[in-house]
Order: sequence, then structure tokens, then C-alpha cells
Amino acid sequence: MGFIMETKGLPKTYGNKDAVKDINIHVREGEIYGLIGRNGAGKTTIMRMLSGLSTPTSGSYSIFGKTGSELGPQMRNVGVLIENPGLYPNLSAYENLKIKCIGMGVPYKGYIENLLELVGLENVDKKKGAGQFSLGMRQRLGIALALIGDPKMIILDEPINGLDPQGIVEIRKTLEKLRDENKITIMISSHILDELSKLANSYGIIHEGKLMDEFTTDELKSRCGQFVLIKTGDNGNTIKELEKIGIKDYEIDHDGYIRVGEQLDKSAAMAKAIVTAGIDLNEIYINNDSLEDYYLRVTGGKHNG
Amino acid sequence: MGNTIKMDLYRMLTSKTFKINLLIVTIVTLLSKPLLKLVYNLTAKLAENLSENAEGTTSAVEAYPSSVDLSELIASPFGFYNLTIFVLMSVIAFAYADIANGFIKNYAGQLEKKGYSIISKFVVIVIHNFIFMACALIGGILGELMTRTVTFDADVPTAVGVFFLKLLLMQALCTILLFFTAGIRQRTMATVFGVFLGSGMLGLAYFGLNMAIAKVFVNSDINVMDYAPDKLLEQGINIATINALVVSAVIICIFLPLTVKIFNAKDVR
Repeated sequence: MGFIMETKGLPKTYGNKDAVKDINIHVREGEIYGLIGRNGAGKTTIMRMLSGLSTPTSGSYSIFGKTGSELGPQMRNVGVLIENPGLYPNLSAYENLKIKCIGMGVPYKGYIENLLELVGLENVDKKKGAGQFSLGMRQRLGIALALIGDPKMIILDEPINGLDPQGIVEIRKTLEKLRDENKITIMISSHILDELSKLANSYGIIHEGKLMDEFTTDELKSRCGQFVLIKTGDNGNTIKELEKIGIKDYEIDHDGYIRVGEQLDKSAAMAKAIVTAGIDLNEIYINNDSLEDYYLRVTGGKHNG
Repeated sequence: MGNTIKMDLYRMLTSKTFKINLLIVTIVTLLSKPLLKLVYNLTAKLAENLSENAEGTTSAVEAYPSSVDLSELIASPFGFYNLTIFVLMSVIAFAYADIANGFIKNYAGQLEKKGYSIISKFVVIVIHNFIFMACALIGGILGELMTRTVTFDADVPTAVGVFFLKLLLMQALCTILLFFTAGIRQRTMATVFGVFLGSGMLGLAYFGLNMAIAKVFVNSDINVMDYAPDKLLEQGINIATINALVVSAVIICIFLPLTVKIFNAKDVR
């Protein structure tokens, strides 16, 4: 499958400081691409550049196979929600959408109602100004604004920030529907990695302005090895017992679990050794790395024990 | 580009600031003439009473003119009031609104060229200024009709030319404000500049400049006010046409491309 969006060595410099450097991102048509990184890692800077709101210091990028001066007319097909939604606080959701509809040359009668229904704002008081909306409602309206003109791709920067659990699920379903039914490619950034892992097909990990890794969901599965998680009442003596049976690859995670990365077929032997030593064994099971674990591993957020 | 202009026009027409400022300008021009006549008549009556009490003297106050030339009204739609300030404040609010609330992020990246946003605002400001000047003119004419006869005189075609010349001058002033608001995003600076321009407070600066020029170039008879767009706007039907045309063209040709260039170079936030 071809890439709908591709960047080549994209940097952005503010003064003498590199906000991001040498970014090579590849987004496939029809997928949801999750951009992961800490605050200030450079996610928004990348999204700004790809959405035409900021000019890269050098490098190049292509969207729908077009680059350079051919890029301008293509940008109409890239809807965007960057940071907080930009809204006219005194105007209603309908009126905010109407402004952009006029700007995009989209007939708005009926169209806006459909958009409001799509993002779950159809029952909002029609006279209520966007300034009185909750953050979640503002995020939904921002997504609706990004969808005006039926873009082939939308770039959403932290769209589920501030949403309640039900709102998060609704937005997830909306985005899945946009991908599966409307065939819209989506680039999304979020801090909620668990939620992102339910949604995205591909990921890019940004750390300190650099793209550390880029992978699909299948690649994530193959890269994330299995491991045995052990919870006991005495980690120190448990480790001694594990070492006695030849286990050397282990670490203690932030929740106090001992994480063993080798000899997974010997979990029964591990349990026996722990119990025989008179240590209380609370839990022992085989698990996979999550997206969060992998992210922490790639960015150095978790160290080997 | 056409759609962007339509969008900006809609934004402007639905904005409260635009409506309020337009209402103020129209009401002031509409009511000022009847009020002026009232004050004039009261003054005349007072003078008459005083002359009756003082033996051997007569009233020196002439009667309120019974007619006014239409050309006079067309050439000075804002009359002799400093109503320009309301126009400029409305322009600043319009040009900065989508930057202040971030709405510009929703569409600027989707434009074929980011700079179209500036061109669109420039075009809409022309319409904005025309609406203000037309409403002020209509208000002025109606106000005059309430008090005296308006005569359709031979200078009307010339006055129409002056009207559009002033529209050009106003556009030049607004292009500078567009530079401050959408270009370098300094609303405060734009407001201060707008207040100074609109209230005629730059007269002192021009006076100082004249003195400085006179010191540097001995025997120089250059008067900066002959080239200042705000001062040219205050002139009537005998406006210095060439000066007004050249000054407007120079300001627009410098500030509009500069604003587009700066806007393109800066991130949209």
C-alpha cells in the first residue's frame, strides 16, 4: 500500500533550537496513525507542518504524492484540529461550522446537521455559544470543523483530551467509522496510550524532537516479547530463588511486579521454587508488552533491573 | 480565494463590533445636523435676547443656512467629526478576531496559499469601509433633510470622485492596521496607532516632523500634513488628489505585500 503522506528529513528550528529534526514519517492510506510522545516532544510541531500551519525549516514532505508547489491545492483535503479548537465563543456550534462551510464552498444546509450528529452535538441548544461548551464539546466541534469539505485525511492533535470516558469511546467509534466507512486517513496524537492502542494501525514515537521508531500494530506485536509477571510478598528473596534456577533476565516494574523475560516455559518451575522457599506467591502469569511498555522502552522511560 | 472572501465577509457582517460601530457612526451622522441646528437656534435666540436688553445693539448671529450642497456631504461623509476612529477600531477587531480565538487554525492550512487569508481580509476591509462611509453619508443626508434643503449641485460628480479617493485613503490606513494585527500580531500596537490616527492626535507628531525638516533643510516649505493620509482624509472637496493617490498607493504597495510575506513566514497559532 502506498503512502498518502511521507516526510523526508523534516526539521523545524526556532531560533537556535531544534524543535524537531530529521523526521521521516510514513502514513498509509486509510489507516489511523498514532503519534506518541511526551509534552514538548515535538508532536504538535510535526502536525503543524503537515497541516500547512507552519513551514519546515528545510526538508520536504509529500501529501497524496504531491510535493513542493503542487502541495497547495492538495491541502484542501487535509482537515485539522491542532491543540485547542479555535472557535468563535459567541457563536453557536452551527454558526461556527457555517463560517468554515462558506470558506470551503460547501453548501451548509443539511450538511452541518449531519456533522453535528456525527460528533454527537446534535442535541446541543442551538443558541448556546461555543464559549459555554465543556472542553469535550469543544473538542467534538473541533473535529466537526476538521471534517468540513470531506477531507481525505484529518490531523487531530490530542482530540480526546478532556473527554469523559463515555466521550472517549464515542470519539473512538466516530474515528473508526470515518476510517472504515468514509475511508479517511487519520493522524492522531494522544497521551492516552491505552486508548490509542485500541484505535491506531500504525505508530510513530517522537522523543526529544526525533522520530525514535515507526511501526504497525503487527510489528508492535512481534517486537513486544512475552514475559512472566510475578507478584510476591518478598521480592528480594524471590529474586534469589529465581537466580538459583538460572534466571538472569528480570526487572522489577513500577507496580512492584517481577518481570522475567526468559524461560517462559518454566513458569511452573518458578512458582514451585518460590512456594518451596516459603514466600507468599500472590500472582504469576504470562503477559505481553503493551504499547505503553514499548513506548517507555524505546524512549528510555523504563530501565532494566 | 472567492470562498475565503465570502467567509471573511460573513464573519465581518455577523460581528457585534462591526454592527455596534456602524450603528454609532450612522446615528451620530444622522442626529448631528438636527442637534447642530438646535444649538444654532438657541444661540441665535440668546443673542437676540441679549441685544433686546442692550439698547442700540442688534443681533449679530446669522440665520442657519437654509440649504447645503450635496457635493459637500458626499466629499466629507463623516462630516467634521472624528468618526474615523470607529471605522479603524472595527477593522482591528475584524482583522484580529480569527487570530485571537484561533479559528484561523481551522482553515489557513487548507488554503492553496496561506497569504490568501491576508488578501481576503484586505478585500473585505474595502467593503467594510465602503459600508461605513455609505452609511455615514446616508445618515448625514437624512440628518440634513430633517433640518434644511439639500441641493443637487454641479460638483456632485467631482464629490463622488473624492468619496472614492477617501475610500482609498481609508484603505491605506487600514492596510497599516492589517500589518499590525495579522502581520506582526500586535493588537495593542494597532489599537494605539488606530486611536492616534482616528482622533487626529498625530497632528503633534506631524508638527514636530515639520520643525525637524525645517531645521535640516533650511528654507524648506515641506509640510508633512500634506502627505499624511489621516490629514488628507480631513480635507473637503478640494482635497490634494495627486498627494492622496500617491500616498495611498505607496502605503498599500508597501504594507500589503509585507503583511503577506510575514504571515507566510510565521506559524499560524
